[in-house]
Amino acid sequence: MQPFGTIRAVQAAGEDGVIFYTSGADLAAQNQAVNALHQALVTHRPHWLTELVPSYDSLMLVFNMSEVDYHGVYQFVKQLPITDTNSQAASTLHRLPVWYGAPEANDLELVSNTTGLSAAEIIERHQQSAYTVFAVGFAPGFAYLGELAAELTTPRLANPRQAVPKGAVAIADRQTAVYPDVSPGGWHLLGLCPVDLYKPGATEPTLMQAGDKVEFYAISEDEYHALAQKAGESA
Amino acid sequence: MAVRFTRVDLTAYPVDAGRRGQLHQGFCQSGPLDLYAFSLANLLCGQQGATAIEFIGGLGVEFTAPAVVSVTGPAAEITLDNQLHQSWQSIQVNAGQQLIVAPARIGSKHYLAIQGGFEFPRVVGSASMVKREQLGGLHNDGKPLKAGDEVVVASVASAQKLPDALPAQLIPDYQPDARVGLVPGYQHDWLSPLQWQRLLNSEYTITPQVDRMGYRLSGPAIELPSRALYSEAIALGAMQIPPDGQPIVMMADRQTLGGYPKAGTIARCDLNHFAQGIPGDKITFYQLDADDARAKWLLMQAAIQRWLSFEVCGPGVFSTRLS
Repeated sequence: MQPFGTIRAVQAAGEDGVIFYTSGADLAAQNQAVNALHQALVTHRPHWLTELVPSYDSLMLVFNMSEVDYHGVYQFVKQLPITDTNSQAASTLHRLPVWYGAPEANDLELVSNTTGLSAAEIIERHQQSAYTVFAVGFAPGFAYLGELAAELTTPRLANPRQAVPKGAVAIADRQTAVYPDVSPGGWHLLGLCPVDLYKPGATEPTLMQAGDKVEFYAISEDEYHALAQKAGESA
Repeated sequence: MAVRFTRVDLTAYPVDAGRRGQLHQGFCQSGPLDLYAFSLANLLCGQQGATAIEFIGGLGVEFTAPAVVSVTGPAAEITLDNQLHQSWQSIQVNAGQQLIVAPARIGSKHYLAIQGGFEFPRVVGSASMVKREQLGGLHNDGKPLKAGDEVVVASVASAQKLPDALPAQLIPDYQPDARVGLVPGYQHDWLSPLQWQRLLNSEYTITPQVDRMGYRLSGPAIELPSRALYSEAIALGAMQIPPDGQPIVMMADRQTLGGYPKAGTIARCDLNHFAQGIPGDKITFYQLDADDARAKWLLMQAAIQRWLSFEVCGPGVFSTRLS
């Protein structure tokens, strides 16, 4: 399966799956190409399509084997009109409040040691960017956000935590994320976010979709508790 | 009606066709490890894709009303009030009777289906339990069944037709040692011809690290060049090669995204046999290109279709009804 357009490579992902890898000047551009392909497939959704799983620079398509084979899938995608949306208007912006330095989720000192920045500088830098949801995965509602300012780059913890608290705002490499629920995790924690990213049982159980934009803003401990209580009541 | 679980020796939990179209939200596919045995268990009860019980180790079930059930999977001793019964067939049960299933090997996966289907909470379109996501199960907390639990069975329209006896060739031959097709894909071109041959010509052993997410194998290490790879979608049966070179095959409850390179995927026609492996079993691989793997899968579907004499399609989901 030959590359075409913004697709730099195509591989089988099983006999009922194909994975498309995108090209671009940088990760943001590659991810934009993934979104464009994803959008085109959602708009022109063929009846044999069963799963679409976008990630950083790839999109896996799973199909019903009794209706089509991978040759047919490849030809379909190749002739698909892919328009580079590239408009911010198309993506949802989420503004997420963070109680930075919350005692249950505070690795600011470790991050400070790695980056050479003060806690205040780390918190400020983290709020300065509008992040893109590059991928949703790992756990329901877990959104990989990028890219983090280069000076905030941190490795993963040598010893991953057994239980990262729900709502923990975390960073690793040039990524940031909010843990939707208690889970093991190896990222450095900056604080707590009171917004529910995952509501089991809700019609729309997950808040963020690949391609969405996210901004963080600082709140006080009191504001955090007030918002957390409100979220708890509406759940 | 309801059934009461009188014995759960190791584990038992609800499975259906799994969460479909939810991978992009981070929900794992879930559902049966041995999709073939699950599908056939339901077909033997005259239905498709109804919620059944996947269990490992012995299971005891008491019925409050007459029912039609079936048990599928590898070898097991099945008794209904001490009367021996066969697996892979429909079993008529009277009220008050007790069914006991004693698998021959600890670790094999077995399926109990009942006409009408078991009623469990459905979350994100499925009743399949996922421990890691704390989804599904009797109390929707991702916890398996315990002895003493009672589960409601959906009522069925009267005179539901049951299929003919299952032809012997449709009963899988679950030898402990499996030879399974590997469909090249993903980063297979990262493997040098030598490494690819090593993978195909070596024997791998299933390690004790097996669960519904993945099966770790041990054997000759596969060496890959160290290259950057962004996390990407993991297909059912994908074979990951982590830095230690020991393959991990990703199963029904695998995480949706992962960053290890993958040599390919286990062919769907052999995945049920592979899924039945237990620690210590030997696995060998043969190359099966995507076209051939699809052809073998279609032949399997056609054989089921001939048995039922009606049209069957979909990846393990059968689109037409018996009635």
